[in-house]
Amino acid sequence: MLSSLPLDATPPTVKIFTTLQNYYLILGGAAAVIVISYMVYMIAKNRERPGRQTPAYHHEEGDWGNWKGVVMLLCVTGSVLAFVEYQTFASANLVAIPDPPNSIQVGVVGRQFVWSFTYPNGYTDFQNLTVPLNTIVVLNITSADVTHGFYVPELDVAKDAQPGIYSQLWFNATQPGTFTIECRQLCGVGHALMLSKLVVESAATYNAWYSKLPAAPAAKGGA
Amino acid sequence: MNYKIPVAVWLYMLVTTVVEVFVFYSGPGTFSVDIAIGVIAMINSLVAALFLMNIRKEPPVIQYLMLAPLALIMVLILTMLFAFAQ
Amino acid sequence: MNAWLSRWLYTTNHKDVGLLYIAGSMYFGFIGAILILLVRVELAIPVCAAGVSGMCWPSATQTFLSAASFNQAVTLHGLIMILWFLSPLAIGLANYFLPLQIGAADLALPRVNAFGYWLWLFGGIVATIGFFMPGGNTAGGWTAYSPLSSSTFSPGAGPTLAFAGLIMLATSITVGSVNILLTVATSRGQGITWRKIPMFSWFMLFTIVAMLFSFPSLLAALLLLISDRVLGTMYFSASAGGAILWDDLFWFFGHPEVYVVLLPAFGLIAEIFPVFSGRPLAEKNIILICTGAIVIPLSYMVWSHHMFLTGVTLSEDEAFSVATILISLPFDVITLAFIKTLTKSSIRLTAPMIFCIGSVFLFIIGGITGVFLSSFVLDVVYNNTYFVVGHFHYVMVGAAIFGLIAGLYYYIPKMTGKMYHEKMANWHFITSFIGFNILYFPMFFLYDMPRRIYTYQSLPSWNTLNLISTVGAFIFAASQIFLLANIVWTLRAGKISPPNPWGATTPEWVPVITGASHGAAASTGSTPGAEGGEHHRHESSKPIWLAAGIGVSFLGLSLLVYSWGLAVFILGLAIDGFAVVGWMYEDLHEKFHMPEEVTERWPFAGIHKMRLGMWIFLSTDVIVFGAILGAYLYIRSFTPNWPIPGSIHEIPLGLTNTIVLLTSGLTAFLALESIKEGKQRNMIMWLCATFVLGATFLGIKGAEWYNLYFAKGFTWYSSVAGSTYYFTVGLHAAHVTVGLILMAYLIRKAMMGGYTKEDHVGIENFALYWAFVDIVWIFVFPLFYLL
Repeated sequence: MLSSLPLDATPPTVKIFTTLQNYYLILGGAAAVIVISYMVYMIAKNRERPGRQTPAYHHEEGDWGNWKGVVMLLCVTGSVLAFVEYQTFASANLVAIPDPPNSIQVGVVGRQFVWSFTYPNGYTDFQNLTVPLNTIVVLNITSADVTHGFYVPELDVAKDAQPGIYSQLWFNATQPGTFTIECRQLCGVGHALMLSKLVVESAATYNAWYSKLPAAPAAKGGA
Repeated sequence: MNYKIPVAVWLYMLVTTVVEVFVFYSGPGTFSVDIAIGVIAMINSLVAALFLMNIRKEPPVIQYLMLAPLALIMVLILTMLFAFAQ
Repeated sequence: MNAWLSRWLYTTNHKDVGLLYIAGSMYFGFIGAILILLVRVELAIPVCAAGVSGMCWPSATQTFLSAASFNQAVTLHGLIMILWFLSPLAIGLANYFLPLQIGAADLALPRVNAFGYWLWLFGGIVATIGFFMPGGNTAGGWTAYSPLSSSTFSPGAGPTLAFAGLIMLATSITVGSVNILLTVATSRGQGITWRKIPMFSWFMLFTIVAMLFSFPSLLAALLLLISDRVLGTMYFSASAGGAILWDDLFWFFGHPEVYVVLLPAFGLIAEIFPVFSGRPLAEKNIILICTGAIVIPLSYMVWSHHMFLTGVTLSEDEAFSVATILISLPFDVITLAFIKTLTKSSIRLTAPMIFCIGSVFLFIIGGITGVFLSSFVLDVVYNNTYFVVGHFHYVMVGAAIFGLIAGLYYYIPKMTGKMYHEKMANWHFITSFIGFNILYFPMFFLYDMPRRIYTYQSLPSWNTLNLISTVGAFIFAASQIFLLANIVWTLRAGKISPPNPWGATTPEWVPVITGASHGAAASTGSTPGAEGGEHHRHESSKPIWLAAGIGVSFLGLSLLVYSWGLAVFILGLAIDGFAVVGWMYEDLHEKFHMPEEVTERWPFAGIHKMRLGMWIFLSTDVIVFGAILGAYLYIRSFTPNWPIPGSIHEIPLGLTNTIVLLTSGLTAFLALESIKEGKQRNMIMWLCATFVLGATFLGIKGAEWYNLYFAKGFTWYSSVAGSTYYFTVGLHAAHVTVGLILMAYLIRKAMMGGYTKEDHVGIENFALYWAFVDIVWIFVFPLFYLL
């Protein structure tokens, strides 16, 4: 399903996730409220109390009950579920990996217990991931030891870092600022402290910073 | 005492296993040889199940009982093998 | 030995074993609860940082629990609660009541039942011993993902012990599943056709089917893991996706497992709702069909939704997302059928009923949040965050535990003969329900907080929500005191209960078979054992000894790092040997004899109980070998530079060995044919031939291995090819060895005249088992020698 996207395709932003979330929240919440209210109402209405006649139970329903009702229920529920699943598939198209020429490819390596980021010129940063505003950034994520989980909560950016394989994800930051990078897959005692920073700067600031980087990989400080 | 079936099955298995090895020597590691060996193995296991385990004589519920895990395992193995786009 | 002690240690009676399970599960539940209360204290407040106001832990190294302790607590909490609390509680109730419900005298294999219990209990003890090892217990999450669970990243005996305990548990469950399935298939009392089986028993049956094909996958994964840790094989450390191999094998088990946890509670709801609504269960057949569809095949087709972000292909994510949506449909039907049972009814709000209503209520919330998680896109937001933690606690604690508690209250009058204190039970519900929601509902709002972090930096939203959650945890935990107090009060001061206080109609309350054997006795929950001569205790000491021996062996295996570990391992094997020989001795001399009953058999009529048991066992072995061969194929397909076929193994030798094994299959078959004609001497001759051929097979294999190991340096720790070869062929060789031991027993019994033309089911079963061993080799030989 990796259809080719035009160069100006909308890369995933928080908005896509929020919209999708809302579909599930509204429909799911409505379902929960309706069903639970109905159940509570039935209990209140039918609870045994002095003077209440036990209603006659019509045995013609039997063990198969109202199977036509069940089929209808399946159709209704199935349609609602198919609808939200379709929303998921539609969003997936937007978060699938593109191959746009105007993107920045950054290698991300998780290791116990620090993230490292390797830029196209070979420079490796153990502190921050710096990216320019409004640019598609493709991350090639892997791990040097155990499974980690690359996660930027505020931008809904997440993928597991597995040893031996490279996983990709892309994002496009539309707001400047500093965001936290966390680890979302238990990786040992330092899991909670495996934090980094995602720095989103204007294109000009970014270019100035990038041009001053040493081309060769920085001395490795981590394990 | 019915010697015929078990001995026939045994001879069949012996011959096909030897054939398997000869097929192997004809082109070790090539794709078609691998497929041929796989097919022989699967047929042999079916023969063993049918005639040695005598599953054909068991009630259908037993046959389904053994079919179910086979189907599930196929799903597991196929999913595992196609895990990565390679 | 004192009679009370010997009664409880050696009993094989289903009611006793049921009570042992219930008591044991409560004990482990208590431990699991303490662990998580410690965790919640740790998480109640953040760690101090610049600009933080309010309570906080002084620094990252000065928190209440260290990161290492926290990780262990969280890991063992999960393992203990799921495997040593929730499931065994259900299994205990099933042990007690399933035979009563279907008119069976006891479970089909009573000693195996006891063995399963002790193996489960000792497995739990072995797993928790890890806490006392240097380096502590396993700390990689109950999911034990690779490579964190390897000996490189989780060194020490502690994690190995935990995995050994898990292997014991998986074996216990597999053995128990075969037993219960056999019981329902062949031990139903007269007149109990499938239509008449009560709902709790039906749901236990479905639970067993979910267990039957899932636990073997866990067993395979754990065997591979322990092999990696102790022997140095390289299954999960293979580069190119060794981690995903674990994920697949584990979650193939892990997903059906959650239904194993949930379905017994649903079964109790299906029993309790009709009784206290004064009307039959709505759409009973539809509920059964839906549950059947859930169990097979749907629950086995959705596991990869736990792996959405692990780097598998988009197609895999899509397929499993759709499958997960599909599996939610039968649950909708079942939930609404339960609610429909509340219509046209007259509802009595007793404690069992209230807890069931609570269970359905909480299931609705938990289930719907599960639909959120079926979206592989939304999973980017929620995966491994507290949203997931909230979801699964709503279903596993809310739905499952509330349902199981309902079952406890419902059945207390039957088990103890006395009625519990209704008001206290009401208070139990109110405080539990409130505490539960305060504990877990905030977690849905913590959807950006990663799981399994021991501390967090101050964020206003996180601080408050975590604190609220911790308060809820203590309320929820404290409210369980009402349950314990109630049980104690009932035993001491409860009013004697009439035989059927609830007005139920199922056989455990109203026996349908008069003059039935001890299992379905009409006496109302008189203290177990006090039913006089009718109460068959049929004791045997072999189950507990065998379980103890296995525990000691695993203890030794896990402690091989210490010089005395080997001695412990050998001691364990010796105890095993003594127990197995003793068990066989009991059989040979008919010291343990269950009376044959007239039973309903369809569609298993015409198949002997023991042969059916062998078929069921073999169906689980298909999954074990399938998983292990699958692991081999997976690793091989993703590993470059595999040895060229023919370069390592001596093919003529392998061929010869194959011929030896196939011939032994022939001789085994001929042994069976001989006894079918009553020719005992011929049968013994063919059996001996089979034994010799089997031993020859092992001998040639030993020579092959000697050559490979010493002459070629091809070992299980030198390459992935070596790892997969030795492990797979080794597992097969272990099966051959077991076959040889069985043959020794059969030959001994045959020489005592134990097999006749009419009664030779042991030989039949052995021939089946041996044919299976042959079939496995038919695959293993070409896969490893020729491909």
